[in-house]
Amino acid sequence: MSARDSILSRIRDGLRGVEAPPLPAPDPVPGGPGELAAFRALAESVGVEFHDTLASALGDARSVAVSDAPEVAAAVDRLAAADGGAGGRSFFDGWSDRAALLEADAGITTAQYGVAETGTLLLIGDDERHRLVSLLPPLHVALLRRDRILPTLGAALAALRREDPAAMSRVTTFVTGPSRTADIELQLVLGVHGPRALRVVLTDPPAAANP
Amino acid sequence: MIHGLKAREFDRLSREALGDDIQRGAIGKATDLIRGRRGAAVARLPEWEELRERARAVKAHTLARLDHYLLQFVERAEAAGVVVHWASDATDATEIITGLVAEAGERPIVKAKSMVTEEIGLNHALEARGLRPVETDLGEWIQQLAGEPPSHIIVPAIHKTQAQIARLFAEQLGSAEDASAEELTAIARRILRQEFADAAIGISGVNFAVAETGSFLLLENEGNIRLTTSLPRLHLAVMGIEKLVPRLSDLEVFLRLLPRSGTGQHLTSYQSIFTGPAPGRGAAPRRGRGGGPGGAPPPARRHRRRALVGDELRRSSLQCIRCGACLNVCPVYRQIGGHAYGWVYPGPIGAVLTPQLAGIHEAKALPLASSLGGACEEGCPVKIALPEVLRDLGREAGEAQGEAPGGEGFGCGRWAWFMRTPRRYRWALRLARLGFPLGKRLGPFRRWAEQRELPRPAARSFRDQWKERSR
Repeated sequence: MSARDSILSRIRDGLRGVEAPPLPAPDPVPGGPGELAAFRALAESVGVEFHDTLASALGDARSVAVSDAPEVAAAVDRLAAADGGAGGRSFFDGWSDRAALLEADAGITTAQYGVAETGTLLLIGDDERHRLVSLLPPLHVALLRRDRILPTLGAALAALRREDPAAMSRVTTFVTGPSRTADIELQLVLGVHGPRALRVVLTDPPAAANP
Repeated sequence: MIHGLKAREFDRLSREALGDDIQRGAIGKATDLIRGRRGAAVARLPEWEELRERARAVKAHTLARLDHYLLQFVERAEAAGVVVHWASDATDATEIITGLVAEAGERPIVKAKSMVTEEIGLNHALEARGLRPVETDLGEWIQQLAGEPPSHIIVPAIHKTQAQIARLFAEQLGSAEDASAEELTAIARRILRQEFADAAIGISGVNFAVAETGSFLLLENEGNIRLTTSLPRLHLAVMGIEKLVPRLSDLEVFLRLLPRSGTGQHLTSYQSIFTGPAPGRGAAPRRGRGGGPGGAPPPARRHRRRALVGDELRRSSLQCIRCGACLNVCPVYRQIGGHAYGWVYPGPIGAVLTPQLAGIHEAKALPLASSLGGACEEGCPVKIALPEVLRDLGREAGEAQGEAPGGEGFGCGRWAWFMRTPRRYRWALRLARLGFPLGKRLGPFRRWAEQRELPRPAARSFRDQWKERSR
């Protein structure tokens, strides 16, 4: 008998005659957007900084990795135009150059959603190549549209779910604050493996196209 | 043969641990801190009790239909491109994994913290083949440097002080003897970054698996799980079959309970949800047998999980989500620490799981290592009836020892154990003071206590008062 068959048959033997208690009905998922102010307060409570401009969020970072999101490219272009140059910064495709990414000062991505309940960013891997750009540099700058705030974790899970599992994003990462550890006498230290700082720039939805 | 199992030596190990004042101090301080943070986080959530009940009900339902949900999970995961291997015991699991590692060319391995890989003795099995799996969770890495297993489910090096860790790093890595937590963490980041950059294989556990989508979820704070599952080309996820929930929406209640119970956070820094192998892993086939990139979770069934499935009370042990809350409130754990329990799981959940997974003959003393206080059950986010399972196991242990079935032998045996040395007696008094209000309602003395008005233990013992006055 294969391991699969022997495992299943022993479970079935054990459960013979067992009446399963009912599965609780799912909680209703709140409709409508989440509150931006709540999102911001929760995120700030775990050390996320909010900046009005990309230039301010990048601070003195020189070598900056970017994801493949068009919004990121557009924001970097605007920054370069406004500064009359990139302000001495160099930008590169973080997802195609791992060696450079390991040395970068900062990585810029978008977040597909924010979650008001917890101050969490949702990075949906099939929508953007931001997995390593958001993880390897010591500073992660995330662009988040103001109109993309979900109220609860339940609403976030509902937004990810697809009838056909093969249509689900292969990786989704929930990010709530910078990388942290408390493994030495419970002392909080930031940036143990991932970014030491997480900065969010809120952006406006693109203006509706003229009819 | 279970790697590292020393639960038979509980008596000696706990006696030794009681003599280690530094360890007792470190654990007391840390568990006090976590309990405070957990209490504050729970107080901010008025629906806490409803969440516990929902989580319990979801787990109880899933475990009672485990065969159905396990098959559904595997079918959907395979449809999403995951290669699933079935392991019927620990040996089977380590052989499958070492086989996959060999197929991948025995390249460098990084590991994320995973209790099930501790259960199956995976590092030991890999090292026996000359491989060097590197633990990347800071606490686990400290323990690996020290050559010790973890002593707490959430905080693996909870029993060590910063000064001890600084000395360990100084000996092993040549760093300063008086390095701060910040400096020690920076050293770990630098060294482990290189390990991540070189690694070809990443091994992780699984916190929750979703039957309806074939997805699985991992929670963490450090980012080492994200690195372990993204940088290497091959991701091996080792999963116990009890990790299932039916629906994606069921994750919500556990995301709200687990971080608050474990560390008092409203959410840990990172959760990763995987549905099939990650994108962008080059040209290798996505469904190659083990050789393809991405997740290949072998549902590694350890030892006797199947034996637990049949009995309702015992089955509830499989509801555990590994948050560590029962350790932090357990007066016994606080005194003796994790290693004394002689296997992977310490504290009340260890006293419940070890005798069941390894066999009662291997761990007869563990069910007795309870204060009867019931704090563990109150702290458990999925409402496992820990004291009741312990009493049940205590009876089994008594019978295995040839005692007549029934509570008294069990209780008296425990009493005798406490009375054997002055230190234990003092400890028992301390426990009695802590556990008194609950011990009357729970614990093996309940039936006896129902008929009687118990004397309340003095707030301060005669011994203590005597010591103070004679100073």
